[in-house]
Amino acid sequence: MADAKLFTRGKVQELRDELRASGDRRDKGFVRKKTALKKVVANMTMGNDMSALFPEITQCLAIQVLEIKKMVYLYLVNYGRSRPEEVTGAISGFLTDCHDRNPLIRGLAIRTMSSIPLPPIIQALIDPLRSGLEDQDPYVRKTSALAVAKLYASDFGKRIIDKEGFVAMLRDLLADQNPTVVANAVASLVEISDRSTDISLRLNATVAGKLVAALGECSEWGQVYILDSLLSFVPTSHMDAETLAERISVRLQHANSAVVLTTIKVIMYLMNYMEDEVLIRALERKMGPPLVTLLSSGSEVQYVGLRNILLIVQRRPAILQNEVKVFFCKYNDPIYVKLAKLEIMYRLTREDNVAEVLAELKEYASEVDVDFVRKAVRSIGRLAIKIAPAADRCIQTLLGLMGTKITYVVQEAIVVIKDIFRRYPNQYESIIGILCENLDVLDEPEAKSAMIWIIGQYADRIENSDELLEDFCFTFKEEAAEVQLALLTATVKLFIRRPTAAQELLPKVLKLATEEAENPDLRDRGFMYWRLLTSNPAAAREIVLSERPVISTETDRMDKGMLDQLLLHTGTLGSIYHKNPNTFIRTARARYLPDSPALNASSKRHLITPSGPAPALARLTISTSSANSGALSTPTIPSRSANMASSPMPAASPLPDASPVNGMRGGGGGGVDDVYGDLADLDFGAAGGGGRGGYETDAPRPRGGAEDLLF
Amino acid sequence: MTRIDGIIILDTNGKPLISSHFPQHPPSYATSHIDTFNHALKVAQASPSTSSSTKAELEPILWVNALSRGAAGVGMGGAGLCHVEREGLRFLVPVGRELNPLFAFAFLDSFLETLTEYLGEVTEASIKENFDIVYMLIEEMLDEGHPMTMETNMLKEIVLPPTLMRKLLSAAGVSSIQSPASAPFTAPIPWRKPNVRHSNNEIYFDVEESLDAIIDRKGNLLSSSITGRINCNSRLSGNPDLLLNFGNAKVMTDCGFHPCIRYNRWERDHVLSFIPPDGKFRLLEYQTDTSIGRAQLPLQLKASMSIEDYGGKFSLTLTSRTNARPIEDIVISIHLGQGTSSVSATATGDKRMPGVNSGGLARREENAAEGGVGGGTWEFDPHTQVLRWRLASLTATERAPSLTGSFTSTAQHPVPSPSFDLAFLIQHQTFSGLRIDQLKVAGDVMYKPFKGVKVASKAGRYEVRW
Repeated sequence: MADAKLFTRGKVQELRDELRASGDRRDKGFVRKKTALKKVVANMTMGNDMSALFPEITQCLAIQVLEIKKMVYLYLVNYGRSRPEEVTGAISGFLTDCHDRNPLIRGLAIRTMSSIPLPPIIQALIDPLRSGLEDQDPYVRKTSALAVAKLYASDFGKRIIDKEGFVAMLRDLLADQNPTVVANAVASLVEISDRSTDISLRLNATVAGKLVAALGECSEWGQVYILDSLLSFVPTSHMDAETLAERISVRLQHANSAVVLTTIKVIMYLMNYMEDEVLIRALERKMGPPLVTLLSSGSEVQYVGLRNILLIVQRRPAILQNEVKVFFCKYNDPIYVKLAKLEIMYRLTREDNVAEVLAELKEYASEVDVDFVRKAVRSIGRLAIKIAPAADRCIQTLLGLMGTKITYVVQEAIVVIKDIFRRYPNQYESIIGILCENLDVLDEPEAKSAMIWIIGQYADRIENSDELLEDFCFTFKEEAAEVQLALLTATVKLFIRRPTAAQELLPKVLKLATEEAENPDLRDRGFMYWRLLTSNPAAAREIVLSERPVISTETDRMDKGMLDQLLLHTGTLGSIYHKNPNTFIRTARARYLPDSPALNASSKRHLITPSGPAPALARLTISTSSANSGALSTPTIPSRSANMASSPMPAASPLPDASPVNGMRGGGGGGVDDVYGDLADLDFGAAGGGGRGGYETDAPRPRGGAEDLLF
Repeated sequence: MTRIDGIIILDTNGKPLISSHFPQHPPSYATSHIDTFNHALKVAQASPSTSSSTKAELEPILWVNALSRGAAGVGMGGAGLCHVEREGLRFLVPVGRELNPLFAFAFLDSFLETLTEYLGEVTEASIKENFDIVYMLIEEMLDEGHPMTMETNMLKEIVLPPTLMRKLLSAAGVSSIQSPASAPFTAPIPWRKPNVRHSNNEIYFDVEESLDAIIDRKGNLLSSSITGRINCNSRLSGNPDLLLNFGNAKVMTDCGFHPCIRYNRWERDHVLSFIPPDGKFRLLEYQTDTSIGRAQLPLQLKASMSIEDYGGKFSLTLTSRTNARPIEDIVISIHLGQGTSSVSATATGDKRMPGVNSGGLARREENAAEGGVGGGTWEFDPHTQVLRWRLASLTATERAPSLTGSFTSTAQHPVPSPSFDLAFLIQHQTFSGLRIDQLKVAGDVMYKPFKGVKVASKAGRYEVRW
């Protein structure tokens, strides 16, 4: 370490000499100066501290060679902030450059100054920036436009910008004749309004229309900026939304995937304000192919595309409804692509294509990647639950897979079969025998508790259910909490159904649960059963054997209002993790679908506003209105109350179904470790009242507070 | 908000080569991204579950935590880290705000393209040698994360490419670098610099279609898609206005255009009207919706594989269904699973005179088609456990070549990959039947350019299950 420092110090001295010696008359074309500067920049970028050379470098500002200027500026940006006294010495040099006749140098000077957010620099920049925004050269104008947003990031800069009316100048640039300048002005305004508490960008139909007109001549980057800004346009009539959507829909045919996805985001947004069903259908048809095209890109783009498609098809299933085959996995797809495809396949499967999807899932189940195989098996089970007419076939497929005796396949199958039992009570008991053949391979808590639940539930139909449970109880103390809970409940069920069979087992288990267990949940539940059984056996029977709410897949769809909100983030990190960015990025702000007279009824019903979800019976309406093709029509059960009836604590419901509910997985701030969490989630209707699938809306934050920028 | 935080380039050992400055972040920002990335990479490489195992599969966007030392940030801080790999180098783009990762990837694409244009090959050596150029490029392309000047044409006016500069430097004393062409930035066409001059005016179009497909065990086509690209190399002086006519433009259903293409004209007449950028660029990407049927597959692979204890047997037969053209550069490959120790196989095919090759074009592989046997050659790479069977060319008239053999494995139940990968190339033909009919040159040009069109179709991601 000391050596390195010494080395740097020696080096700095050496470079200083070199800088001083060069640049005189003998140094033709400043070749030697250039070489010396290159070395400085090289050292700087390797992390060696070159800040001691500040005076020598500042002197180079006077040299009118573009290449040298660039390196000097690079240096100043790097060290300027940490050397406030010295950087002020460079101001006069900066100002000269701001008036250079070469637009490149003018732009460079403004760009560099705006990257050093120190009050004296900002103060000095005011005049050049003002003339820069009106410069005759578009390069200078576009650089200046961005500089305004850069200054806005610092407190001092923010004050200056407010005072000097730069925002209004930016607004004027929206009418600039150069599309790149327009795009940069928009980018700057969007950034300022994102950052600011008192300025928010609002576009009216005229300005939005003008921006769209500029789209055609913009670079792809400019197009993304402009398209993004259109989210600040709140249509006040259906017409507004429809016209705009039609006009930007040509951007769907762009080679740049970012442009395509941003266009889709804006169209999806505008659809909330449309009325014309024919047009909506037409737009939906237009959006499908470009989404599919994303899949022929590199795997990075594919991944982002797939995560977004998953959101999009949940909101507008029509878009890709006939394209399930496109999402079939290739063996050589990267695993993250495969997993994302799998989830979409599940979403797009209907009664008429379930056969081919099942065949495909069966293929996947024989692959080597354990994670992928498990998710494939699980998907088969979910399909059985989602599509009633296909349940038989799914079960057969699952049983076939269990025949492979591959332990993780068998265990995964058992877990989903338990769910199938819950979905179709009293229909598939005949296969219990086959399941019981596989008891020995179970070593995962989830699979064990699933099996135990099945045994408990059908204790009276499985001849040796008492023996099976007894076997499980041998290792009671070593088991995971969820298995212990399952065992406890299953034993109680057995006792109620066949009192004699559980005569010995029950006291043993209750004793284990209440006296030897350390888990408070387990102890509590143990005591509860104990008291219940001793004080009022009839009530115990009624509660423990009460009719179970039928599970549905309705609830593993995201709340529509939540979806609308997430879709405003299409193509962003939020759409990758399926969370509102403000829940995991500190600087991000929640977006809400703005209300307007044009907002159509269905979007309005699910509207999430800054103050929370829409009142009324939003949730209930979803489950009844959005009838899933042939699937269950059982409304989302207010199962909170059902659970309450059977157990005092929701967590300790008599069903060992403590399998994660949405909220427990993806919730929480940085909990993005399991991006595929929702694949595993079969939400047992518990989301009824709670937490909108674990996605919290942030603290209310009014949009467009004090000052609205109404254009 | 549409801006990225910066760009970091890591060498093959995960050490930073280049890291653009991150003005709005603490100095540790870049470091923590690099650390997170290297850690994730290590974990991915160590993970045994990846089967195809030649490459570690890292999610393209990583989550980087614990950056916020800021006041309010308790666990909320963080950023996404987009990354791509090129020639062993890793290019990282942290995106702190609510940003479109596609934007980051598109930027990376563009950046890499520019680097290639400047440096020839993008390697550790070439970056080190020209790091000042790379830096200046980054500075010019990114203004605190906003893409500034992205078109290579424009950049070349601002940052001189190394070769040209070296030339100038060697002519010591000439300070002509001082000011490049006056006011290049007012160029009316953002993708084309003004006053382009070439002594030979020529333009080339490369049409290439690729077929992605999954073929199931019975030879049925499970899913397929055809993607086409038209790449263009334009070396035309002045501002030529081009009009490209297609024989059957209707097959292109879903197009992605280069910004230079006039969209309305396409909508109306299905012709491409544009003023091209100078140099190489991608004019157009398209998908065809001609859902190709089983019968139209140009090549049929009958594959069977049986697994035994400590090994297995396989047998492959290829048939060409393409009458007009030979199918070239056929490669069939499969990962035979961990523990595969040896393979023995026989390739048979039509007897063929050495050197008589229907394509007549230069071969890329020397060893293929040498022996005068149409059965091709096979090889097994014990490191990657991949078996490859190569055929230089195949016509519809010759006897179907086949490869039969067996492999041994140290694993009792070998697990070969469930499908064969297929690659091939057919020159002078597109799957969709797309043709370029005519190119008209208008605008302020007085010359008659040389025009060239090349057409080919090939297999993209093409898998045949056994």
